[in-house]
Amino acid sequence: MGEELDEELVRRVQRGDKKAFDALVIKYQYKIAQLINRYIKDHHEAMDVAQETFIKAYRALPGFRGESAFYTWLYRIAINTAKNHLSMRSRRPSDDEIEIEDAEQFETGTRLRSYETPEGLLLTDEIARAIQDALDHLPDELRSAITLREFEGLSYDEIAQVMACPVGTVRSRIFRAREAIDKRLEPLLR
Amino acid sequence: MNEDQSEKLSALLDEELDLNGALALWGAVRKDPEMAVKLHRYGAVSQYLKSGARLVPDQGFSGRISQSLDSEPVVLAPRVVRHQVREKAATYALAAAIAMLAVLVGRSVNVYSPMKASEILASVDLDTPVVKASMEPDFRDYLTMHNESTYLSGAQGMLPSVRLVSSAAHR
Repeated sequence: MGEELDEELVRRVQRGDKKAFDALVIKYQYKIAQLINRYIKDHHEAMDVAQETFIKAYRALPGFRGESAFYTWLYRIAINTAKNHLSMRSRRPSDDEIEIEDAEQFETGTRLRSYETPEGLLLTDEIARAIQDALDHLPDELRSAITLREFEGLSYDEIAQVMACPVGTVRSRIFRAREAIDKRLEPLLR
Repeated sequence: MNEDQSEKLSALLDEELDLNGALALWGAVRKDPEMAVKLHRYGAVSQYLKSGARLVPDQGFSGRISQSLDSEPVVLAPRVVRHQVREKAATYALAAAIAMLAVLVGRSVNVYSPMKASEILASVDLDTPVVKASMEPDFRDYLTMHNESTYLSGAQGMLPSVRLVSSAAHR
């Protein structure tokens, strides 16, 4: 269903529905951020590049012919954008090398240009511990369902076969597991 | 937001909703900030569990991209669609040409024109033995019957050669 949904969302963007692109951003923002973070360790920079990736993808969408899956195409744009970013960074002085008297000169350039820097949400150790703790305290059937889904990457159908229960029950168990974890996280993420 | 909607968000995250259900829910998420926040938290935790990723986009990430795109021209008319239209147009043109050719060929085969036959007869030298033979009453009767039967069987386009062959066979 994932690819079918992506194709439909892409078609809508190509027909001029900009809002359909929001759904693609929300859907893939986590994967793209993680992918870029493998190349660019600074999380502010990584989120900057992630944002640039999506904007480039939007601009390139008229040329997207659907010969590959949307995510594969987006993945290539993300890697190229990250590599270009690293390449440009290697050709310019690092923060430490910028002298105060040189700062004025850079203000008109890209390095110190004033723009809204995207912020990434860095999950703290406390949040990570809270997720693990919530997972450990789930009832067995909920923990098994969410584990098979998130760690093993099984579909609902496959989980239903493993757990010998209807697909609807799997869907409900995974939801309840997420809700239990979410309840623990909500105060930490505010 | 009720529990049913939250459960659907969870299924949406796992790509386990059907296409129409997913599109409808994306539409609802767009309009309901509470649903968007819930989906974002589900997504962040899911990504952490899947990969151990600590860096996740903040809640406003997609909104900032959306704002940036406000100044972008609307994406329209993908090249792939134009390509398909050209291909379809070429196919239709070819089909139309074939249909026209079929009509013309059909007309040339099926239209029986006695005027043309009389014009041909007018240009023929009536003193030749073959033509004289064809003027005999028996043979003319035979030809009349032959013409009628071939016309009814739809083989009138073959008449001139049939006449000559039949004439030779008859004599």
